[in-house]
Amino acid sequence: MVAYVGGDEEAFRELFLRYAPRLLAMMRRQVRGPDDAAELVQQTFLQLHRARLDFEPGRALRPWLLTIAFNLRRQHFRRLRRRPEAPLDEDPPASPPRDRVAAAQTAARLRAALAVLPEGQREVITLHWFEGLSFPEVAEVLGLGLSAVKVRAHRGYLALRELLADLPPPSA
Amino acid sequence: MDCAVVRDGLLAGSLEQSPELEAHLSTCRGCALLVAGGAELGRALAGAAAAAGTPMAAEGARPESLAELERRAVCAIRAERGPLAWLRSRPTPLRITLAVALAAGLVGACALFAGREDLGRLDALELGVVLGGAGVTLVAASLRLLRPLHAPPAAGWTGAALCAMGLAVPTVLALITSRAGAPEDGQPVAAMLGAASPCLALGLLGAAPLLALTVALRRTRADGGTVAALGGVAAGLTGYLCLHVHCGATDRAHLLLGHVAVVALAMGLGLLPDAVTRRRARG
Repeated sequence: MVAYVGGDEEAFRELFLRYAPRLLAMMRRQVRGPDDAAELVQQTFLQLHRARLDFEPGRALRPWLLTIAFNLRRQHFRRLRRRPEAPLDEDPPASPPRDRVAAAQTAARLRAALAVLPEGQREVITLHWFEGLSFPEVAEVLGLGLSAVKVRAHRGYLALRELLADLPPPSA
Repeated sequence: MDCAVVRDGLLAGSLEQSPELEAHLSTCRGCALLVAGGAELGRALAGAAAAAGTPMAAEGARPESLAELERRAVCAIRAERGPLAWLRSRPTPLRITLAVALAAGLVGACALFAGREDLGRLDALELGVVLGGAGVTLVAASLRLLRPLHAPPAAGWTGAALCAMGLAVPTVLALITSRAGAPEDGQPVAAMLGAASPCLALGLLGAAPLLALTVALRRTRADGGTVAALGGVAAGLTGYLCLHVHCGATDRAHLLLGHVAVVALAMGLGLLPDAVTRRRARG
């Protein structure tokens, strides 16, 4: 990021290759259409470019970028005036048909369960579980206190455990 | 050990008991829940996540769709040229300083070159209350309007609250600074409007530069109508303050119709750029 701020255009490509696949996967899990997901990722990188002089060297880029992405996603849903709804996968991972059907069903269950959770719990679980952020990083992205994040995670995971209780374990 | 290692271990089905894991679980309630009770939730999430697109599964996103996305992102960034793009990419503290400095400069210039005759004799406390009240609201509106997207989200009510404050503060100030026994009693509405219209026009003229600057300094037009209106609030308050140091009228109707109305009209004008952008997007 420091190189990009310094004017190295090749550094943008490296940033894009490192973060875009993860952002795209995150957006696809949360917005209805694949075009919307791609548009939000594109907007995230455009906003990164516009805000590049705000970036403090030495700071972790990933939570910074995820904060932009989450804010854009919020704006997207505010425009649509509806609760986030999970889409169907556009690009399911390659696997044998029977496994793919089972995986899609499991994914649909998880999405339905996530959609039932309150927004605050869903955001925390998305960042903690799917994005692998630590709780302090989740707190930074969402602008919450660490204890509030832990409470939301605790409640969210408990709710998910109940919602997914009868889900069979995944096949190896 | 951290949360990511626990998650990856669950996804891979390779999470085993170890002192490091125990130490982590003792401090992390989220992970402790995931692996508790035979890790049924962890396994369920692992299976669902693998299909739903975890960071790992994302690596399998179609290369051509990523390449196309990269091409579009690069095109959008290459289009960021010219003075407007330069302005909105300035660091946030500088963008806010520019907006506030322009407002202060406009009010100062108005006081210096077109100040009311009794400006030097105004009650210092009253002048301080007006400048302070409107000034603080103006700075707060600018801070919210130009809040960067990499900052944690502001509470949803702040935009609406600042818009309401932008109208309430000058209204209260106008009521405070108006004089009893003012000559508006019995005056026809048309005459009151006629007397107020020069101030209304001058106030909007004073508001216009800051309105244009805030439109240029904003980095996104998707943050909602109330936030967009804050540009009009900041600009309208600038126009209001310009009128306060320029016009010596003290009757209540004139202050409300000629001075405070500038803020309301500027708020409406602040919404226009977003409306135009939305219409273009739909088109």
